[in-house]
Amino acid sequence: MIRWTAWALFTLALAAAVHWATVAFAPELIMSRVMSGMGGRGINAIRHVERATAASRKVVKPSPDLLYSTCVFDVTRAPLKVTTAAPEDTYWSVAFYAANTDNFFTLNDTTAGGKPATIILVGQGQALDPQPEGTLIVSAPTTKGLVLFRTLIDNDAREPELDRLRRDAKCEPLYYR
Amino acid sequence: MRFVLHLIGAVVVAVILGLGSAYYVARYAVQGEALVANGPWVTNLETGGTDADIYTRAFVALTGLLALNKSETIYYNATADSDGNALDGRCSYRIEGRDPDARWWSMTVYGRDHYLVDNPSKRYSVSQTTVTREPGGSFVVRLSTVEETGNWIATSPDGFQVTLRLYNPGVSVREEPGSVPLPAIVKESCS
Repeated sequence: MIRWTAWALFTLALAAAVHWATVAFAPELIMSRVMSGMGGRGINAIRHVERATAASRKVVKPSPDLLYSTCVFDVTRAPLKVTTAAPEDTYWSVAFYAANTDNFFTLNDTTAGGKPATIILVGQGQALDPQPEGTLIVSAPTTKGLVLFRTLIDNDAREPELDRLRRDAKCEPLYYR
Repeated sequence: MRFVLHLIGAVVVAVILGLGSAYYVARYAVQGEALVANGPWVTNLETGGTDADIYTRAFVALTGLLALNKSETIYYNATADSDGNALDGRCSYRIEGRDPDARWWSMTVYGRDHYLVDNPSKRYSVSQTTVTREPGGSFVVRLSTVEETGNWIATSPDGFQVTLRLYNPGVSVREEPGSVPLPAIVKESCS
């Protein structure tokens, strides 16, 4: 009897450990898989995604009213320089996600004053000396992650124009050491 | 030999229990204390934020990866109508109301798999700038599997959910997400 109780307790303790590890690490695993899919054309480079349809299956709940552009980043070797596009009279934003899915920084058209903005994403221990003028400096909580650009299609007739304008955005390493 | 067999059996059972319970709890049961209901709509204010607990992160990774934080966008999701009955793919519905307090809003239908519902007309959503309004500014949006004229979004006979996105939500939404006026979801008929 004691032996079976010991086995049952061991099984439950192990199940609890598996439960915790799965919940804790699932977001990073899912994010890593998504970034691998998006980064097929290289990291620290921007990629413009087609407007979402029922065939879009890489990320759950895509918005069909937005044009998405992505940049999988890795700031291990150098900071990342992100330049936004600035289409007029519609919502746009650039959102930074850590490897654990946290949205740690967002800039939109209103907070940017309707103008293009330059954001320097620095990794842990990286210093910019001197700090480039007119830039926003953001610290990355993880060396790898994702930058997601959103441009709202407020009117279907504007889609070609907005698709052209969003291509002004850039995502590139600031320098190589 | 007997000990080894017991050990293997215990590990297999533990892995099945651990993985199954983790998926169930993250997907269906626990979504953090920030879960707020407003009629048929439910939102999790920790979505995308850096304060999210491990269950909220897991839930968002499974059902809404790469969401924005609440100051940028609040996401309400509905899996039931305003009477509390689960949305049924065999039924048609109307969503009626007025503009929520936000800079811009959209309503999008997703299948149970969290992806857009395939339909020839690509009618996946309506928004503040595409909705046709009634006199006085209110709107009625119809949801069904059969195409209709005007404000219509395609649903799936296998079941569906509706996501209401509020971009740059106003003060009333941010301060009272559980009581601010949101559109009602009304069942019309079932086949």
